[in-house]
Amino acid sequence: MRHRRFPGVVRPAAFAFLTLAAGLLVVTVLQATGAVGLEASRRALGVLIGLMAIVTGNFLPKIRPLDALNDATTGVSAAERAAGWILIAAGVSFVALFLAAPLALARALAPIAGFASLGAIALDWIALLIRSAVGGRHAPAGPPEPGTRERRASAIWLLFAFVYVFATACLKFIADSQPWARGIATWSFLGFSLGYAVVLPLASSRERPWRRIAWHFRGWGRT
Amino acid sequence: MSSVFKALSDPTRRRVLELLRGGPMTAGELADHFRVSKPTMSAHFAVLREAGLIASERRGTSVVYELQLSVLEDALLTFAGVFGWELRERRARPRRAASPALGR
Repeated sequence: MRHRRFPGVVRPAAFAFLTLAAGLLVVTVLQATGAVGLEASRRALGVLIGLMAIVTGNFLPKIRPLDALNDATTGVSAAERAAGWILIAAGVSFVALFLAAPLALARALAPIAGFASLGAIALDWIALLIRSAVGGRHAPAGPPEPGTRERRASAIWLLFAFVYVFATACLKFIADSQPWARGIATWSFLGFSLGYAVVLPLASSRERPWRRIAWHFRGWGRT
Repeated sequence: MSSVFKALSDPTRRRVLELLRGGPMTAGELADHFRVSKPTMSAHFAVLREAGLIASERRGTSVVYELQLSVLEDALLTFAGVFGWELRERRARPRRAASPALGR
């Protein structure tokens, strides 16, 4: 059998994400140079961020960011699929709002849709993590397929990059006029970089890390 | 993308994907749900894997398959199931030899 698990599966998602990120940069530069008006640039940024959510949501179940969890935990694929659909719904609402609604209304409603979607996904995944650590049945451990670590690392990077852009944009939409909001991007970048530095080694380690964590907590769910 | 349409055009392959929605399964467990020969099932698995709709992993003597669908592909699968979408496969090309070994 060829050992070729998830061949190039993260590549199209990363390419689409980076293309849209380049689009964000171009719009920002055009607005700064005065080539594009403020309202047009804000609408374009909202649409591009919505498209980013759609692209990431579409590929999320394929890149398997929760793959590092215990094999036998039920509902991992379902949670990834649900997260994908939620992000697509959020992205479509972003695109619709920034194309059709008055800008002030779009900037007020879009962050609500954005944070609601991220919150729903976070709650679902936290519940899954707890279920995996406490009650997960363990499949026989085997050596990971070649390329698994690289794929996991790429998936985690893509997810962190998207959540950073999406959450920062939502915060900026809400609090752009507030004086304390100037440092949002910096603090957000710092926070996500630290989180990424913590999560990446866990998720891309040779052994599935949750197995070891679950081993310590295995009795909790039954007492 | 045409490989995805080809993979989804067959009801047996769609049924395999539906079964995998419940979680990873070995090739043997999947084959138990169908009255077809093991080489035929292997060929179906090969088509699905080539289209990137499933991923396989060897565990001991078994080959475990798991779903690897994007949301768009998931929607296409649902659409194909609802409307009984079946396309005539091109028989002109010789079929590839089935590569995956069936697990227990």
